[in-house]
Amino acid sequence: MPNVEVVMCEECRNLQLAPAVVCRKCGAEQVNNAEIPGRGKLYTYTTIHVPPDNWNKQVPYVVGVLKMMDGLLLTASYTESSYDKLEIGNEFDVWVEDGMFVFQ
Amino acid sequence: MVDVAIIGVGMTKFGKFNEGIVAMAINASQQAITDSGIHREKIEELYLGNFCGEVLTGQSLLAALTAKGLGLKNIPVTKVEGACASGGMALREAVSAVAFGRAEFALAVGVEKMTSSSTEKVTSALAGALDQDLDGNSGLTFPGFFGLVARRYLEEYKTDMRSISQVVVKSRENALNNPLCYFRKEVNLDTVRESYPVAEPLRLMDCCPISDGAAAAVVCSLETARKISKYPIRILASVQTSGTPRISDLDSLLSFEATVKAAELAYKQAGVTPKDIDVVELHDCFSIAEVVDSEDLGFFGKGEGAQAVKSGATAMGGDIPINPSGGLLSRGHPVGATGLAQIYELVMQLRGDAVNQVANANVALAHNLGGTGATCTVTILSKDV
Repeated sequence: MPNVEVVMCEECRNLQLAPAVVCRKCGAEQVNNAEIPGRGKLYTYTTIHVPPDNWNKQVPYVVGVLKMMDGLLLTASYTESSYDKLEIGNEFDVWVEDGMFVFQ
Repeated sequence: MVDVAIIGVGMTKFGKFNEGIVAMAINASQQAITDSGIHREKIEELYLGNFCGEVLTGQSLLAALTAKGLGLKNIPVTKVEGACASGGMALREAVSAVAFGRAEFALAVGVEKMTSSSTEKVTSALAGALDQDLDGNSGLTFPGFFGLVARRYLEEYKTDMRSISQVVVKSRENALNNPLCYFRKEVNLDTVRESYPVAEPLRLMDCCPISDGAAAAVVCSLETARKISKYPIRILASVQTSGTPRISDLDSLLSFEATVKAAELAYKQAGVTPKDIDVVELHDCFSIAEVVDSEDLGFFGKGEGAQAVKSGATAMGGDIPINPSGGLLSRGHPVGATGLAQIYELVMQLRGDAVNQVANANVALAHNLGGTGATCTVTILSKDV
């Protein structure tokens, strides 16, 4: 399972997604790169039927938010064609593909 | 700092029109100036709220074009942008210009022209309010963001979309009387739930329509207003806050910190509590947004907003009438204009001239929210000057 790169605050230990040059929660200046497991629980999702301009993938498609380690929320695109497992609370693998987070 | 009052308001009808973006801004501004009773040459600063005019129409420099079109002299003119809160922010800038003594009279105007672009292009322009590197690149749209909010709300509070879509039914009931609204036909819950699935669980009618329109207000010091205005409205609080345009910064999708903080500050500044508010115009860009906003503003506890709509508490004649104008869902949401259209409605309410008049309306609250709760303004107005 690939890891997800994050930024951790040395002061409040809050996790955030990069880029972050200071802690986006408490404002502390000391932040370090870290890695968390690429696995999260589905927090919510939406099935989009009206896409933005230049969207060259199939419609409808699903975008989800996953709750990662320490409650970090992460937006990702769902890559499976079957919606059977798409239930809030279910666990999924998360990784980066073509510059965006995907989950399956 | 001096106290500030609104002495004039104006707005175009919202909907789908041929009129250009600058012409609409001038039209609403002219109305506001005429309504104020002052000569246009007295205006010393202009602030124009607009979100995606440049992307959708190719026209920039909207503030300068509007000022020149109004025949204003070489005064400072500024465009402000904060996604859907651009109009509310323009008002706050005008209020600040007067409060800090820079201008005796200032004009705030908001405008957007959206219907001449394709739905895909508008969807892209609106998605510009998301962090494109982390959220937008997954194909998330703005209705999609509120679809995420809605699905989580259903899960967390064990309610259903029929309860949330009741907001739309109430909105259309109010819009029936309001000639400024885009959508003025009654709908029932089944029609809302059977409309096209834009970003499930949100259906087309859970979303505010793509619209054109403009709205404006003239402000001056309370002292001047008392002398020259027939019906001045006092600004008890004018607050602006920010939150985050990035989902990974949020702890939950069920509350927007920018709203909570703006409301806290505004109630404190005005010396009132949510119980003192007689009428509200809040940012119902989607049915679920009204539910969440009504909780964040302190009118209902967390998770109680949907039930409150169902009970009729937010309808005309209810405990706290919300969006008597029809709100964004029925009036339409020409993005940059909305914050000032809310002010237009509340000024009418406090003057006693509203189409859906709330009885004994003395204190009113406007809430304008931008992006994923990234920008927010809360304005509290009073009839007593």
